[in-house]
Amino acid sequence: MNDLLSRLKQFSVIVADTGDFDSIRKYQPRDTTTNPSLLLKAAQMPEYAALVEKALADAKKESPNTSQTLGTALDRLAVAFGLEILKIVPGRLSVSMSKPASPRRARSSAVTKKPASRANASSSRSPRPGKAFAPPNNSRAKASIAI
Amino acid sequence: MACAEAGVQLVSPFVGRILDWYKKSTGRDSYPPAEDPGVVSVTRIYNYYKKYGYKTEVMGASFRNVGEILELAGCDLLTISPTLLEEMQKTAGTLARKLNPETAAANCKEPKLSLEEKTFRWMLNEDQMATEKLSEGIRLFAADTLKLEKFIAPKVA
Repeated sequence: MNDLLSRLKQFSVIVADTGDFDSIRKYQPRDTTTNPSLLLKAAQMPEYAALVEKALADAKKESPNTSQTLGTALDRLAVAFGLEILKIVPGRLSVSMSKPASPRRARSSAVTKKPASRANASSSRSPRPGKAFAPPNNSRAKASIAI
Repeated sequence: MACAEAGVQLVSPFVGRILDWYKKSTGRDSYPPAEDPGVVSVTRIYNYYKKYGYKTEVMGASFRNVGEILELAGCDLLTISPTLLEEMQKTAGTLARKLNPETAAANCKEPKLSLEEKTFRWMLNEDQMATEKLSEGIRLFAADTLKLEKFIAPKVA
């Protein structure tokens, strides 16, 4: 192949910067990066409505009280998209799960004693063995900051 | 530098957002890829990490055009939007490797620095672009998380 993408793959690991599964299938990157903006875009696409509904239904079942449902739903949504992407790419995925800490939120979080556990985090999977730049085996849950 | 010292798995410098800032602050409307401030920044980080043996991976991100991407060929990883992936897939051509662990040491003129928090914060503050784009980036992602929350709120009510 003499196209620029094929040539670039000889020198660098190509990562898809998107939450859109169809694009990921098309360009066969090793890894994928998402962020809150990409997740917002993907969650509003009609073709992923069923995935969104399922994630939200799971969140409702999981939350003991309604004040926590929304936070759980945001996490569930990010994880649901992440899991779908990991079915396609052989390597790693980054997903941001940061929660904005407005004063209103800080208060409500103090009242409910909800743990502040939703920091920026990424889930990752080791790429195929023998790949260049393969991370160490313990890289399944490295923290990352990607802004 | 601080990320490498902390043993972070990967850093993802945003090439296009750095370019945006420089275009706005200088009034220039374009830069050749090799002079693009975002490309220069990633090249500098890559060469520094390789020269001093850091294992932290460098993933160039946030590209505005294919020229920026090709100028960083050889970077550990490059994360690219579907639009630019498509453009590259449809374009035939040859490509020279620009970043290379073999030449990194010769191309890095910077001394190895060890940063404690005070120095890190001072250096970040001294870099107007880094200070402004970092806080803006966090604000924009937070705003999109809020939009997502508003989008799903009626569905979980």
